[in-house]
Amino acid sequence: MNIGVDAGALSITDNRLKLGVYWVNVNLLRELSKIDKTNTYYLYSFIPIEENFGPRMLNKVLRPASGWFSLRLPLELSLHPVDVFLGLSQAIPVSKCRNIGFIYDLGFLHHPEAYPESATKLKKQTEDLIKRSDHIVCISQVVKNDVITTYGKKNITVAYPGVDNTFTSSGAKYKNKNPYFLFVGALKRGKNIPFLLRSFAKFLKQIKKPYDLILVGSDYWLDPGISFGPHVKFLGFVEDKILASLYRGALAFVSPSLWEGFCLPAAEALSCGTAVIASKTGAFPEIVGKSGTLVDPTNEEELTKAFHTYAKKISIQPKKFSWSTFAHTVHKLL
Amino acid sequence: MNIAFVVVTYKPNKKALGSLVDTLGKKDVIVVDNTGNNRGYAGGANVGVRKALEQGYEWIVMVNDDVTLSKYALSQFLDIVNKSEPAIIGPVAGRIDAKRWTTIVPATQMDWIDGAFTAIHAKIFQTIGEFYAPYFIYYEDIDLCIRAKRAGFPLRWFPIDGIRHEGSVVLGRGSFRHQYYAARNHLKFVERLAPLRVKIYEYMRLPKTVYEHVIRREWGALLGIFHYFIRRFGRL
Repeated sequence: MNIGVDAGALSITDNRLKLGVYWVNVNLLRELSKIDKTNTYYLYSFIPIEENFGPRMLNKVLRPASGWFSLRLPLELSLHPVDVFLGLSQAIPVSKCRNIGFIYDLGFLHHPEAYPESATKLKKQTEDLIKRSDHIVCISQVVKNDVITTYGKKNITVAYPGVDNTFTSSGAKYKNKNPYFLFVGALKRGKNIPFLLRSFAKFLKQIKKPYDLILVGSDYWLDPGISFGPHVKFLGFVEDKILASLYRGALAFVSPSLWEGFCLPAAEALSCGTAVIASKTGAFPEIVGKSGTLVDPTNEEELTKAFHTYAKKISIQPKKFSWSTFAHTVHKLL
Repeated sequence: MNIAFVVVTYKPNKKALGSLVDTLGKKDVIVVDNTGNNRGYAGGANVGVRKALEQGYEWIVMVNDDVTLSKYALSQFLDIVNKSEPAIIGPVAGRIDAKRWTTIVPATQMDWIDGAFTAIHAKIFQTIGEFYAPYFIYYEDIDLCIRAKRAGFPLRWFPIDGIRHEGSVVLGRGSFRHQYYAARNHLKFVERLAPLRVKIYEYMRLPKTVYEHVIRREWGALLGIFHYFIRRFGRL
């Protein structure tokens, strides 16, 4: 079989823009190239993809980049049809092949204010995907339920994304003068960081001992409501090796996002054996389970209380999230 | 610490300036007074930057004289600067509108760092040159950010409690001269750095831009656009 893949997300060269969807793309293709010895894959992108995924994965660069998704990709698929198309960027173009769509998040429906420039586009794109896809892969149960209640769609499989092998409980721990809590993610609006900072400031005032809050992540997007107080450190973008040590050394990983379809950093923290303090919305309940504390993302008291609970390190049993399982689930659907 | 502070002032409030210089730690502060010989913010900043570069400072922090900051916030900020690779670092970021290349604050995406309080590595000045003086005031910081980014230097946003800028107190928002510099320099900025499609769009849009200024009675902006076309830059 010939399989077409929307690998537009892999055209990203700026490290700060390599977010969740990018890593799902890379890891799925890496694992599929190990599992699949019969099919040929065509990876469509707008600039050459840096990574080589092996002999069965051929990169097709489609130019020009403008009108890429609405015109260029459908043209390619009608000139050189494939048997199955994988819509890895939560979008599916017009074509006659069997479509498998991927849905990561419907957060833009619940909190459009957090997506000021893209909510309308995302909404349209997702509606088209629902119409055009023969099967859908969701990255968590909550996203699946969401798709069912919003669009009444069936034929949905849940596959949890994996975590890179770097993130294990054994290994170096980050050295910080004070015990610290950790946030990892883009400093975007939906991440609810001003709320996190306010709650942390309250905690500091109450405990009267030095604790730090370390933030790691891209500053490409930003939330103008953010302002760092005492004991807040922002490290920007760090390498995976350092990130893993940061997870291991942290008292707990904290993310009070208003909505997440999965939250890769939380899964990475759990893989490193670090507890997670997260909001009780979105996919957090199913990812975190009993390995952390869930709070109301609008109630500062609850988050402050959670900080107190984890002021002394509570180790948890590391959880496993494997890319190979993810890829096997997708492979069965081809 | 190898960090210099450059404060450009124009008819300063001596007391406020004194306390700002005190907070910054006195000895590494270069004050450029524009009062007698007004070379504009960009021109004055360049005088300070040159001095700092001659003295071999590694980082230069540009500080507007109307910025208020706490000692703690400053030390937190300098701690980040000291550990950073060559970059432009500041607490307030802005965006550039993709269509017109006008500036947007507050932003949800970072394209530039506000020049009211910003640390710039010496290497950046050595690579891309100084602030573009003909702007006189406004856009010189954004211009520098775009050029630095193109030369491969990262911009870093570091928002922090305790650093505040009142904003445009010198000219007053909406004042004749504010409109003048904003309108003229925007066109100059587009001419210097924007991609071709933005240039074409901005020139084609001119009648609409002029019309908008007329109905809002923004005469300063109209004069600014006129001076842009007769190539009059620098001080009004």
